[in-house]
Order: sequence, then C-alpha cells, then structure tokens
Amino acid sequence: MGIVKISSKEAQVVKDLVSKYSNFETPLIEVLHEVNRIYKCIPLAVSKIISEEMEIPMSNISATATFYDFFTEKPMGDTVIRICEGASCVVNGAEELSEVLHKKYELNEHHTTDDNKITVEITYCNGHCDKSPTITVNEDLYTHVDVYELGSIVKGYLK
Amino acid sequence: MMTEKRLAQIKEETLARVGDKLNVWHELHHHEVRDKLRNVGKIDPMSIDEYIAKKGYLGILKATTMTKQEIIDELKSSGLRGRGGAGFPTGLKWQFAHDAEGEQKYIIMNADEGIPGDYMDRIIMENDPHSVLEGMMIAGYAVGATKGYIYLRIEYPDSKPILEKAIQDCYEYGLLGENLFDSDFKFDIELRTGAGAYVCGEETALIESLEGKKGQPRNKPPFPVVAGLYGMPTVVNNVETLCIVPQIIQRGGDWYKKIGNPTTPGTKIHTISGKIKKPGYYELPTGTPIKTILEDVAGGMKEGSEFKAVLFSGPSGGFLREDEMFRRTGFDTLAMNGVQMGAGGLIILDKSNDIVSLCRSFMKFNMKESCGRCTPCREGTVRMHELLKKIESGNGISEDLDRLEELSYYIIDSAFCGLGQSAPNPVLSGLDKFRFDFESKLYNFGEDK
Repeated sequence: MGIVKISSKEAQVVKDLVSKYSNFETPLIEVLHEVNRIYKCIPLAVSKIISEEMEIPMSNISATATFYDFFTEKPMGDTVIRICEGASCVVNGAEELSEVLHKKYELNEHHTTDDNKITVEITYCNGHCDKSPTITVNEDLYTHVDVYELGSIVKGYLK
Repeated sequence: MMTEKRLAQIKEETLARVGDKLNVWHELHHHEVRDKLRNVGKIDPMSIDEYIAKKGYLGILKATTMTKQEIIDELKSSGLRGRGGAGFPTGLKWQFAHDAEGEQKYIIMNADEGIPGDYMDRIIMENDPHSVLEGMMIAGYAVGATKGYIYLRIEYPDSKPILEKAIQDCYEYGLLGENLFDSDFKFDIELRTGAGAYVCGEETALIESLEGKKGQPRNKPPFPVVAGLYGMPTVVNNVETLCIVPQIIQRGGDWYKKIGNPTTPGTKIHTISGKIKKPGYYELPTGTPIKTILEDVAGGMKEGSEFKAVLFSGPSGGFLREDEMFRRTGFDTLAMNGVQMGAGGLIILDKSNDIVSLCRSFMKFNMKESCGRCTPCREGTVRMHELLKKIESGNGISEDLDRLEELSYYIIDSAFCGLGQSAPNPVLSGLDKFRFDFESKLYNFGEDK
C-alpha cells in the first residue's frame, strides 16, 4: 500500500471533476465520492488538487476524508466485503461471519489481505433487516448469509 | 406549467392505461392500515403519472391556495409528531422556521436512516418517492423556503436512482422550478448522499455534513429552525413525517388526529426483524399493543424459538420483557417503561440470544460511530465496551456491574448529542430487566459479598 502518485493527466481529470460541481453549494462530499469511485480511496495527492481548486484548506479536506466510513486515505482491497453488524444481523449471528473471514484470510490491521485483494469492513445496517444477516460485496447485496454460503460468495469474486 | 386541469388529465389517461393495477386489492391483516404505504406495491416508483393517478400532487395544489399560516395550523391541529425518534411536533417546527428571519430558508429531508433494525424510510423512498417530494414542497411553501435537500445515506444505493428519476420528472412536469402552480412560489430539490456516518442522522451533524465538513453535531441553541444550513433557518424532517404531509393537507388535520393514540396521533410503520415468523414492515395505528404486533400481525415466534425480549430502536433503545407486552406503542406510553419508541424498529430476541453479548455488540456500534467531539461519549463508550467484554469473557466481578451503571449515568448526563445520551440505554435496560444474564457471567458469581 504505497503512496498513490498521480500524473498530470489524472490531475486534469480531478480538476474537471471539481469544475463539474462548480454550480453546487459545498459539494465536497460529492466530489470525494467521485474520487473514491476512481481510486477506491482519497489519495493525499488528489486532496491537494481539490484543496487548491475548491479553495478549502487541506486540513478540512483531510478531516472530511477520514471521518466517514466510506472514505479512506489508504487504498482498499480489490474486493471490499462489508459485513453488517447492525442489531438484527447480530441477533441472527453476523459476528461469526467476520470472525470466519478474519481467520481465513489472515487480515492485517487495515482489515486487508497482504496482497491487497480483500478488505473486510464492518458496516451498520444495510436496511434489509428482515433478511438478516446481510453482507455487501463491492456493491452487490447478499441476504440470509450463513457461514457455509459466505465462503462460496467470496470465492466468486476472487479471480 | 402544472395546473389542476393538467393533473386531472394525466390522472384519467393513466387510469385508462393501468387502472386495474393501481386499484389492486392487497390482503392485509385487520390491524394494518395503509396511509403512508398507500401506494406501496401498487404504483411504479419510476412513474410520476401513476402517482398523479393516485391523487398525487393534489396536496401541494391545495396548499398553494392556502396561506402559509393556514397550512401550519392544519399541521398543528393534526398533532403530527416527527417520526425520526424525538417526536417533536412538526407544526411547531414549521412555525418556528416560518417566524424566523432569513433571506433564504431550507428544507432538509433526513434520509440518513441509520438505526439498525429500521428501514421504513427506505421502503417509502423506494416505493413512493413522489409522496416525500410533495411533502417537501408543502413544507417549503409553508415556511417560505425555496430550496430543499435530500440527505440520503450511502448504504441505500437502490433508493438513489429512484429519487433522482422522481426529481427529474418533477422538473419536466413543472412541479419543481419557478412560478409553480401559477403563483410566485419557487422550489428546487437537490439530492445529496452521505458517506457512512451514523451520527449524521442527528440534525445539526447532518447540516455540517451537507456543508462538506465532518459530521459533528453543533451546539444547540441556536436550533436549526433559527440558524441551520449556512446559518439560515432550516427545517429538518424525517422521511416518514414528510410522506404523510400531502394527505394531511388534502384530508385535513382532523382526519389525522382521529387515528391512533391521542398523544401520538397517526400511524407508525414498524419494521420487525429477528426471530419472528413474518419479518417485514407493517403500518399500524399508534397505540397498538406490542403483543398484538408480535403475535397477530407478525405471526408469532419463528419455529423452534422461545421468546425472550423485544428490542426497541436498536443499539440506543431498550428491552421489553414478556410481562411488558401489554404496553401500547406511542412516544409517551413506551417512555414510561424506560424504552424509547425511536423510529419504530422492533427486533425480536429468543432464548439463544445473550443479553450481555448483545449489549457488548451495541456498545461497539456506539463506540465506532461516536464522532469524537465530546469526551463522555468518545471515552465513555470505549470503557463501557471494555467492561462488557470483560464480563462476557467471564472475568467480570460484581463491582463491574456497579461501574457500568455509574458510567452509564455519567454519559447520559454529560454527552453532547443524542448518540451519546442514548448509548448506555441498552445496558441500563439490560441490567434492569435481565440482571441475571449479567450476574451469571461474573467470575465471583454466587459468592457472598
């Protein structure tokens, strides 16, 4: 997980992104969402460009980029598994799921495998509590997940 | 431009086309009502025509012929209370915003429904998006706001395209923009997404987040109705609150006041999950006994499960035991039993669920979602989590229970916002009602003190 460097071409993409939102009031979070879609994180180099373009102090951008669960400054793995540990998923045994994944894939302190293939995150409530426990893999939702099924779901995403 | 005539024309054309589908009869339990969910499963959420065919946008049409004060009085007489959890009277909130001075006022729809176990807002937005847009328009007209924001949580990716399409259709039909309904009323709605922070459901934290900052709550007062978004008067309303507003305007406040429990008039959508036979969402008049909800409406316990408790409003609520099942829903009736109705999510626990490990898991949630602004919540939740973990692993001593209780009251008294103030609720409720679950795990269990 090295520092993400960006070329001048990529910098232009970010600048265009910011100008796309020039008619909006305080669109920082929307801009960060777009950056997140491209890089799967908010690289410092990109934050710097946003800071210059939007005239927001770097410290404020960093604060926003680290506060929210869906933004990180370090890149996430290629496959992001979000296990819901909301109340009704826990009642139906969700904590076992993350335990199993942590053991099986030997995740490091960033909840990511060393080869950066999988990140396991804990999230709270996907709003499908009637079908708990639920997980999302990248952007796909799976409901009524049990430990046996979990393995085959994750395997489907590993090439 | 949209006029009454044009609405009637669209209605007739649509009814001729898909009338059978729109008037389909849904089999409901006899306790269930369909006021807020009246269009669910009937209309296509992507079609504005079908919403109009079901008397859509007649509320805002009627509102524009009324004065602002008349609308607010109608809301006040209906007794509608905010369905986000705090239960603040909506009419009063609008009155404050109406009376506040500011060159620009805002309406915000709080669609950051983060409480685990609750998903009624998602059901409304994904099945009947126009009802909430209409509610926002009426709110905008009543308080004199010209701009509305929808703050949608990112965990609801399916809601986003539906709301986007609904907003776009409104602009095409002349229901949003300038000079609406032949008057000088103008209103715009913009959709914004959050980024995964539970605390942003708190109204001032939500406003901070909309301003592009980290979502930490602000000092109150000033309340958002006086100084909210960009320092301007702002009304923040929940999805479920706004979706019923068009009907209150159409059918009058007296109609609404007659439904349900007099102190919390109207209906409440309950989402039921956990060890229950028929989990799902049910709209019921307030004042329905909890026993009726569980046994009649939701079909009783799942096979092989034995009832233990009901958890109200997730990790910030409390437990209800079997002997409290006669209690009726409502903001005040439940508060008497140390339980907050909150947004109305019920999670059913059976004997296999351990209260201590659930409390530990809820405390982990509160610890993780604490925004870090105030010390009692930031540090207190960590310490409580440690203590609960210690008890769960069998290393706790009886003094730890006293410590938990003491710490809980400190946090409730001194935390800055609702998240911290309600974080110890499940622990206190658990200690009160299921003390044996805690005591039996203690290291010195059974020894004389």
